[in-house]
Amino acid sequence: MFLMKKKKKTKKELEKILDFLIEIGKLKKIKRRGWVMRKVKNPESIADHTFRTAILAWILSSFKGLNTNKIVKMALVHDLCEVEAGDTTPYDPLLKKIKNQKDLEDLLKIWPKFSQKEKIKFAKEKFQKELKGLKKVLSFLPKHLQKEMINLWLEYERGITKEGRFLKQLDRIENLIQALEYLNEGNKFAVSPWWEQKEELIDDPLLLEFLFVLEKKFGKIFENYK
Amino acid sequence: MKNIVKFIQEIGELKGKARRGWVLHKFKNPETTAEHIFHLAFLAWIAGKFQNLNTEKLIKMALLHDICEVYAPDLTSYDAKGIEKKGKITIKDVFKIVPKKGRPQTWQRKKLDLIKRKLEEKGMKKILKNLPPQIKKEMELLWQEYREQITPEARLIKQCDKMINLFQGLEYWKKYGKIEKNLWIQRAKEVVDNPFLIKFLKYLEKKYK
Repeated sequence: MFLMKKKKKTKKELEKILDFLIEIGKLKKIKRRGWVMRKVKNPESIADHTFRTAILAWILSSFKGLNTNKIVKMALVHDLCEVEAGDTTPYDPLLKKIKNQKDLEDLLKIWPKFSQKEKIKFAKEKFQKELKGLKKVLSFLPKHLQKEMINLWLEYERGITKEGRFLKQLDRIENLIQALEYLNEGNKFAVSPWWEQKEELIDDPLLLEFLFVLEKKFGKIFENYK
Repeated sequence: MKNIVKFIQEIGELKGKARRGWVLHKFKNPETTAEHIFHLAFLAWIAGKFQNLNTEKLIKMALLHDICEVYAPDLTSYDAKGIEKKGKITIKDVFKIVPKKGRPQTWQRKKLDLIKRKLEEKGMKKILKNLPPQIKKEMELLWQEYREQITPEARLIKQCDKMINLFQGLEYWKKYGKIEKNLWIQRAKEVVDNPFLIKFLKYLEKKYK
């Protein structure tokens, strides 16, 4: 009797793990919205972005003496919520007003600016939506794994640890590198939003140095697409 | 710092590199190597947790396990099946192989593995070459551990790799057919001896009937 119960429990556990893998497997299919909006051909998926962010985080955090193990795990988890919550972009609150492709292109030339009040409101909404999404994705996993992953995400999202704050900036940098690579391949869109965003978000000295190297390497592109 | 930027751009190629096994099946928009690594890292994390292994090491090993493919070809067992003559083959010969469906014979598999290993070692050396010494050392050691299969973590990654690939194959099978499903399951059974993964495999077999 006891054995039967145990067997049933294992089966259920495996079933849930498989469901989890199917769920997160969707991130291999979901193209990042920022690129779709900019009409990039064959853009990367969320899983693609997560992979490179994890490696970037591993390397750069090692120079800072941060906990590389933690930050790598955090990087893997940082966009999981998007299976359920979708890929929110900073332009979303403004999309209602957009009527045609031309409007969208104009909008994407600048980094959206909001009042402090609006900012707090949008951030709160995004946080709630994503936390709910993350909890749903993780609901397939055993409790202790759920807890580990949610805590990592909260550290990242709230910026409560050094690793969390560092990853938040790295996430943007990975995105900038990808933007530069797409421009290099012949896609056309304005790069200035990333630059304005940088002013707002990136203050880590090591990352500022990293950006300096990027700017030098892709100098021509900056001139052409500012 | 310049070298790190270069490395990050190099591994970025894995985001656009479709896995060869699926390309050979002519699937539309197949997964990329980066996406495969992402999926594997999570399976390894979960399986490692269930068995009280070092999940941090597992995840890092998963992230590294295929980065040699920036420079090394992603050779599959279909390539092994395409090897025609016994005797030595050179690296040049590898690029002339015409892949075939079906199960390769042991000598074919061994032959491909030998050359594949060489190409992967070379690829890994090349990609890690210019990284700063400390991080390079860490990555080299993890990769060696994986290659030599000397620790429980290394063995688990290898088997998880097989398993996540089987899982993706079964998903494609459900969608497009085309995959020699039973052969794949059979092959996985021969490779997997981890108790957790054996159970998982049995479950997969039932689920994708």
